[in-house]
Amino acid sequence: MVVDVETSALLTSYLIAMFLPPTLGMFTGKISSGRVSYVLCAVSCIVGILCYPVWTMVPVFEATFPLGSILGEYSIHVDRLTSVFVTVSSLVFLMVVMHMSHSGHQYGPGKVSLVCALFVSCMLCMMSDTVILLLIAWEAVSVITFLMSNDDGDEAPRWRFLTVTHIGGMMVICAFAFLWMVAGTPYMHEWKDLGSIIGPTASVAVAVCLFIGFGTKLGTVPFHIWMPDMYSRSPTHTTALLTTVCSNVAVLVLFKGMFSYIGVSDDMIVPGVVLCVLSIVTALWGAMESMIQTEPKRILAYSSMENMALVTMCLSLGLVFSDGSESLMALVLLAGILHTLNHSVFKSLMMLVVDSVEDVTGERMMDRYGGIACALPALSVVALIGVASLAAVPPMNGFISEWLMLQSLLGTDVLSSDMRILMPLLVAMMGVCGMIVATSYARLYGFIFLGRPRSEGAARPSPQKKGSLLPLVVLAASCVSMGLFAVPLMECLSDGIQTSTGISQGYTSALSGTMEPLLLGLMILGTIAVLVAVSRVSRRRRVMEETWACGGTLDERMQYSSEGFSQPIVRVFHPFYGDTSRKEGDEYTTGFTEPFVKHIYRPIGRFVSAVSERVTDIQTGNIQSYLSYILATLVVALLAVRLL
Amino acid sequence: MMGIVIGAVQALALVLIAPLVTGIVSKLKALMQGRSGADILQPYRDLRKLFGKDSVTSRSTSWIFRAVPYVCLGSMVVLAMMVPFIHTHTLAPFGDLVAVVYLFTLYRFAMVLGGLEGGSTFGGMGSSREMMMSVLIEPALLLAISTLAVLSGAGTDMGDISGALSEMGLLAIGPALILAGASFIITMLAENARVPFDNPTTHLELTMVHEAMLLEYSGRGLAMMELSSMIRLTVFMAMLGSMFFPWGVATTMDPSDLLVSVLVTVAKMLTIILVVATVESVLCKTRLFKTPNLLTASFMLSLMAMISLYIL
Repeated sequence: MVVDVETSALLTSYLIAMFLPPTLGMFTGKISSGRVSYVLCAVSCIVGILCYPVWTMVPVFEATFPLGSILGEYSIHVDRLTSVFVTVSSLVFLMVVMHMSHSGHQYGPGKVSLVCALFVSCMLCMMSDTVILLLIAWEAVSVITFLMSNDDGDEAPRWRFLTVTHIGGMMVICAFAFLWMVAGTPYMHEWKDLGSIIGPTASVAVAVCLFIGFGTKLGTVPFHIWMPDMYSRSPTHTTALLTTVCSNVAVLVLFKGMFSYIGVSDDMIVPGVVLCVLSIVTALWGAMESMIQTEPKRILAYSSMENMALVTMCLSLGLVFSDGSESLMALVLLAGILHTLNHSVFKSLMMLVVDSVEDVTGERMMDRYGGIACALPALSVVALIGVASLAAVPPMNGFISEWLMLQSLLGTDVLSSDMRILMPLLVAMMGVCGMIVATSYARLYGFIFLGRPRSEGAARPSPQKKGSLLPLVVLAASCVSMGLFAVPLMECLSDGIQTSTGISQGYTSALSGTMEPLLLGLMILGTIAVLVAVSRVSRRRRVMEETWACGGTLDERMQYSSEGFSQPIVRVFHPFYGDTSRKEGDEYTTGFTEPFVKHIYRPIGRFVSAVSERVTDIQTGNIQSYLSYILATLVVALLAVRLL
Repeated sequence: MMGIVIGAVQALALVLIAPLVTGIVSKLKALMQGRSGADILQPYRDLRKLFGKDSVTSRSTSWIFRAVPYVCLGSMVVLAMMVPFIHTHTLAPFGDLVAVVYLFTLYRFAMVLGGLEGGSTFGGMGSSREMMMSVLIEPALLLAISTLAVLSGAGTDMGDISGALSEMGLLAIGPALILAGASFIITMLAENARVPFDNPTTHLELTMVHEAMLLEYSGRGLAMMELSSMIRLTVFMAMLGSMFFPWGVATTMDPSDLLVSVLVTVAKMLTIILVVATVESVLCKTRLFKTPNLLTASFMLSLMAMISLYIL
């Protein structure tokens, strides 16, 4: 295609505007306590937000960077889907960075450079066209988040994160290296339907490698083990970026890998079912775990796990539906992709809310909060929008993507699928998950913002810094508008999905019900507005009194606690949770060790330690014995080469 | 145009008869217990009295406490517009059964937050128990209505399901409909805080679920919460009548059809009211941690209903 001078100039200047400032920002972290870096990063985030408009202006959005390596050149290629992802991710990134510049006191000045580096690597990873750039950027994302997560003295969580993501990274490298070898070209936009070349077994193996590889970042069971500790021990902004922007990156690359590069075929149905079951188990586990956490950040960690599991469920259903109608596949993939974007918006909002709350109260446990809605009404409004979106309450954006998911499970086309028996179970599981998650957020919100203050910090929160509410307001507004104006967004994403996967049909024909998010939202808001207006006609007096306490007075501990709140559910789902309460002396405590730790990771750990103990026996520290080991190895190796 | 009028009329009718339905249930219960009971119009008087009263609010409540009654009542009014009642045409080109189920979630979410306001122990307890029950109720509800959608093959729009089922005639009666209907009846009792799940007339806050959440409300706020729970009961009864036993519901604009439909609907509603009143009179409230057994039964019934569609 002929690219005229004007558009190539536009493209070049766009890319320079996007990547040059944060690259400079990496070196200015220590100048005037990081302010220069913040500004540079924010500038390129704004440029990133413009990615979708720019994409519509240039016919082919691709470029090659003027540097390369022995393994090939670094080039990027942006299609519609990528540009939407870049736009939304940049928006989220901008808001997190803005909030960070107000309250990022947890970071040393040098750490701001890492934020710039994270921006560059996330964007490169999404836009990359050559395998080598993708792998380098993906690795950089892991390492940078690892470096950004050093907070208090406890080093274990972040090392755990690094280990688990490297297991995943290894799988991703294997999968992409294999595909590269087969395809014969490093340019990924030329990879189409490689599954038909490599045969069913290999394509299933590659798909599973990709799924697990990116699943480690998304918290698929049993690789979620790093999440809760990492979330609770790291600075909130790190995890906010990790759970939103990095998850976006992972889902985008996973989606392209499974549906564009490998391509679907009938052989994928059975692995699709297996991955789907794995995802729904993850979702349930995340939901149930989030119920019993006592730290807001840990609740959010498990909820990320649940949300991302719903996304991976959609992607694996895409494999399952590959024998059925194409529009159903388009629908379920759209549900997954839309949920990813929605999640990045509402989850970053909630992360920032939790950070603000921790900031103003100086507390970090659920049972030390309470009554913050009275002291900080503005914060409580944006937080309510966030939890409502997370709990998939109409007309927020979370509801729209869950609606799409349920539509894809209830569609009439499902009946032609061999795996239709799975659908009622998935509807049931989604229902249970959805309600547990709603409970968990009602709990999160209720015990932070409502009730009476449970600690000095919550009773007298320090005032919020001026302007620190702005990013939260923008994100809350995005939650609402992505809900109300979901249809154009859905159409745009659906177009993008069609071009990446080669599905010929749109999602609309698979829909079996109607949904007008805007109208629904207006109906709800309009009805409430009418009710308020009617009750304004004849106002009644409102007398303020103390909370009713059967004649006594209540102190701050005499109210329902967040742990007590979740106890009925814990009792109902007793077999899943096991015994959570313990008695130590005169004190009753609730604690919970994940069975995955108990039954998988600890035995592995014990085994490795035992093997290492044995190995120390031969490490005598004596140079002669080492030389003899080398000699023995050489002899064995030579013999092996000769004989085999 | 005619459709909009019909839709508006039936939504209005649903909202207006809601207190009457509650009144009839109480009256029937009283008669079965050998009392004469209050007049069936008593709920209207109660509501009028409450609407006219000043309210007392706890000092430790925030704006959410005041917003909750509006959200609850608003969501129930929107729901009344989306449910087929006399006619299959609803006022809802904007949502389907998933939206209906999630509107119940909105209602419950708001109410639970309202219960956590004020920082009393009872509100928190009510909220906690409500959420425990809803974890099992809501999926059962979703599955039961989805079963109808798949059974009718008419998609997930509420009105279409009702119309398609009534056109199927007696063919629609099968394991799926019966199982889903049974599940829905249990769900209806649980969702509306009726015996055996909750006792709306008890005087002990400790034993209550729904009322415990409303404990801090008074005056107009209480009136709105009460009205919205009355609408919720009526909406459930309407759904049971017009979707699980949809025969007789008008599908055309023919006046004779409409007349028949009104009569049939009244008969159905009275039957359902009688069933509810009988259940409430012969059963007693179960212990809180026994209710999950019944709720799980409802959940399994609806799951089996849906599965039966896919394998039979």
